[in-house]
Amino acid sequence: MLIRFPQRKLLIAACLCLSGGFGFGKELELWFVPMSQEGPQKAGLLQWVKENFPKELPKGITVAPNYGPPIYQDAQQKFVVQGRRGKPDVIEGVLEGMIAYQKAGLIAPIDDLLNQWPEKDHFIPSTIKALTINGKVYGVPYNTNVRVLLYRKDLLQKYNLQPPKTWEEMLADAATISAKEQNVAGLALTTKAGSVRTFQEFISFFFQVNGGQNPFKYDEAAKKWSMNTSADKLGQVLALYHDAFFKATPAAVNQNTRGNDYQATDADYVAGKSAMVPMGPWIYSYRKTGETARKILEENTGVAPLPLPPGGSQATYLEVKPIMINAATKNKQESWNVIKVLCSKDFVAMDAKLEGINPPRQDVADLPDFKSDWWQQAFTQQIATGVALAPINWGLVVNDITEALQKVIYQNNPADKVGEELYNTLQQRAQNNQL
Amino acid sequence: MKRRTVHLLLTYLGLLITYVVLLLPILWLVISSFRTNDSIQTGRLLPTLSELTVRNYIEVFAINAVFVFLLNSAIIATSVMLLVVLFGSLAAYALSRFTLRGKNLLMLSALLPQFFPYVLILIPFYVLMSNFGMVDTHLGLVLTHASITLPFAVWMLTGYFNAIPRELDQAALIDGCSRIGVLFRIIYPTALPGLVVAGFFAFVVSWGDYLFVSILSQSQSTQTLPIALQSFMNSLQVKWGMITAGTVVAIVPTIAFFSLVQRRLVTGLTAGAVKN
Amino acid sequence: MERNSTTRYSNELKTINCKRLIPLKRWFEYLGTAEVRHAAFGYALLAPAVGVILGLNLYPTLTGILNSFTDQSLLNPNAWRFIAWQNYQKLFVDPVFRVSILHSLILTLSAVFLQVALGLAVAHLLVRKVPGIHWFRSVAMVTWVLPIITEVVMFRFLALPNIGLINLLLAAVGLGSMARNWFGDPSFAFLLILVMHLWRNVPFYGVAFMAAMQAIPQDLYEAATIDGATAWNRFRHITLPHLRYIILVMVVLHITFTFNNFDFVYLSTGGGPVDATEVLATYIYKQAWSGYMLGYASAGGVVMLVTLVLLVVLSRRLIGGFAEQ
Repeated sequence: MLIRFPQRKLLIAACLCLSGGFGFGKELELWFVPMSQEGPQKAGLLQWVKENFPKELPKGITVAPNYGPPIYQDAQQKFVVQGRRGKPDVIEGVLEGMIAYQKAGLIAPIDDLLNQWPEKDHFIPSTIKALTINGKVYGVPYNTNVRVLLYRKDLLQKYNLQPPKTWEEMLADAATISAKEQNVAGLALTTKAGSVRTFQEFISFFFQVNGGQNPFKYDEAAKKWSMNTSADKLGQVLALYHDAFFKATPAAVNQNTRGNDYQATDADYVAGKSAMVPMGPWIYSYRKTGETARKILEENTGVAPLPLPPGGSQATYLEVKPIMINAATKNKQESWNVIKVLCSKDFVAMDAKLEGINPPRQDVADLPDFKSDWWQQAFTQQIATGVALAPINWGLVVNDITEALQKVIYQNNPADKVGEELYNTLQQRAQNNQL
Repeated sequence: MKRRTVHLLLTYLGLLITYVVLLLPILWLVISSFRTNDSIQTGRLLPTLSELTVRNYIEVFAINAVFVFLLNSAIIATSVMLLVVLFGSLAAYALSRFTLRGKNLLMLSALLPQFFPYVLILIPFYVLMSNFGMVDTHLGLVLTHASITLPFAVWMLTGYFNAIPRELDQAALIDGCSRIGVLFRIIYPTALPGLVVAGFFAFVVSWGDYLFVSILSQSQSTQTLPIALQSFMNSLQVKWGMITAGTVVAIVPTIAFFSLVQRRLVTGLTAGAVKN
Repeated sequence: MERNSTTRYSNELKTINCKRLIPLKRWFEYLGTAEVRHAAFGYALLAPAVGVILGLNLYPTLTGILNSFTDQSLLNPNAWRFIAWQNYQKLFVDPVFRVSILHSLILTLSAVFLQVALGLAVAHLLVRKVPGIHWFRSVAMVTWVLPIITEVVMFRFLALPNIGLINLLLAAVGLGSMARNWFGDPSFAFLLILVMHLWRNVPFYGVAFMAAMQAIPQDLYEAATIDGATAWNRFRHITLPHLRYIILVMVVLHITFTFNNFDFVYLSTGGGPVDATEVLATYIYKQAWSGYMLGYASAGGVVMLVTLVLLVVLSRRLIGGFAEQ
């Protein structure tokens, strides 16, 4: 008894001393994944924040230098459980996260604040619309991107092929290249369960089949979400994947790449292992990782809108990342100030360059730096056809879609059957109010 | 004579196969960590001399946060180890040497949590820690890891202490030693291998924990290496050279610690295995 | 006169008070005895450990069990209703849940069985006194001490399609056509998870069994050999009975560990492809965090707990039973 207590007290004291986070004073908490996730963008962002927050923010407001969990899913989970306590004050996330937060009443609509902000009109309307749920805006976009088709100009030229305009052309061209070019797959797709890119690629193709509309629409009368598509249309997209992996021999997509996650897809393209790939603008930052990547991206890559299905319309997936205010925050006005800085022309321009994404602000897109950047321009042209996700709880739907996809590409199940099953599953979810 | 040679050869063959299977992945990891990214991508089994580099390690250590992660992992794991050995030995001493009413019930209720699936208690656990303000603190993580390793430690140490004859206790008590003194002066030295096993077990579980750190840690001040590794794997650009180097950095401390204690570990497991 | 009455009265009072006080007094005396002090000291020694274990585990577990009977969602934690067994009914109708429980059971039972078998084999190798055996013994457990995430990284790296060691080695021996994305293949992903469990734990079994085997008196073996017993008989009748306890310990420990384990599956395949590696732990985790369905997930957790307890009880019976032969 005499020996034990001092040891324990010391231990506890030591632990307490080392625990961080006692915020005294008016310090706001900001969760911003690119600032806490290890990667090429982190240092630049932190540098800008270090220099500019003191300048741009009103006196007395500081932002804690810890930017939350470095993975979006993690941040989402934690915010859902603890956000009601008021911290963090400001949170950056992905659209799916915003939708979940809105359902849980965790974020505040900012229409009044936004409408008073003169810079509001600089934002591209579709990006603000993407963040609107039930007529109210829940976040300000600082980052956006669309998906296009990247292709190897040199390889297509070598086999006298034009950049494909339809799904059929794309598969045929890809099959040609797979057959004739050693160690190169004509097309690359992400199909790993649990990788968000799998779903994003699928939905880009789906929007084209579904007339640029989400698979669900809100039924005002029944106060429920209902289906806004058909089993056929789902089957059509699944058939695309099926044909991609099985139609030709060798197939348009390398069967050994089934289950690839997004890092593998990206890495394969910049290593020259695939000739075409649905992609977003971030891959441009790979040009700094080596000579092969640089050559492919800067000299040999062409950008085209995603090819169309028969009877389809030009549409693609628009990803928007919002910055939101915690509904339970005690510092709403100060939080709004932080958001204004993070969505300012300066920050958006810097971030777009660093992270290799498109700016949601037209004034930034009009900057000479951006106008002369062929990569940025190629993507910005497609933003108008981008469709954002509907405000439903996508978690379970993504699982369902991924499962259907995997049944088709692994077990070679007929696409129309799987499409029907998928339709029924999604319909069940809508009817059971799980969306 | 011939039979013995055959036996010898077979033994070595068996050992060779076993250890190749066990050590090859680690070896491959270490070799890859010294190759350039391009070299790894070429898919050759062995790198040429010119493809060897230390750049991956420089990149890993250039991330300033890596030192913080290492430090966090070390602090938390060491604290857990000390806490578990201390609390565990006190509890084992009580269970072994004291007649207490409800002893069996207590022991059962202390061991039962070992069976609870972590995923079941994850969210209420998070809410509980949140209520006590222990989210994102070292203390919270230390207590968490202690709570998942104490059951096994208590159970094992009780077995050890039971095997130590009470005559030693009696002798010391007669000589004027206090009850606590008996624990520290008689039992600790004799049961040292058992304590080493318990402490090492706690250290390893704490160092390698991913699930609880992922929900309790929210900022770099409490992040540990496993989380950092996972976020490397999830980062925008996957560079296998850097990932393998980071993995080696995460492995080296445990292997170093292991080599220090491994002799006692085997002795400890021996003593534990022999009882009954 | 007055003094007499007061004295008599106080005498009476004294008698009355004494009578009432006797039980209390005795109780206080009892508290002061060595026996009680002894026990109190014992409880005090237990308090820290039990406090930490129960304090951090009891409330969440009880809450978890209670939650399983509600439809609480993480998005609206205050708007929950009591729905009795509905969650459990939904669980058993869910095909993915049934697949996960099947996978969990198959994985646990096959992993533990193989670990015991391989562990015994390794123990027989390690127990031999050949030159250099000390090096082998000391290095054996290195796979067990590595953090699981590092093992997952290692195996993911090994199983990569173009640059992974497995495929490179296959190509080197001319079997390049068998190369594939191992973790992305439904037939092999589960096998890989099993292999990861084995790689980590078999040396632990081996060392533990070896330690136990070292305590078996050699003359037993010599006597048996003289009597003409074959190697298998010696193993079955001398070695195994001595190892019964340690086998039971290891089996119980590892059934728990493998059944509850989340890291291996989640960090490597996430449960895919096509649910080929989905286990209970990852399924429940996803229900809670992707679907935000806390009540439903808790019901899954309770089923997990009950199944595990059944498994442990069964294994104790079985292994105890074998030993009696």
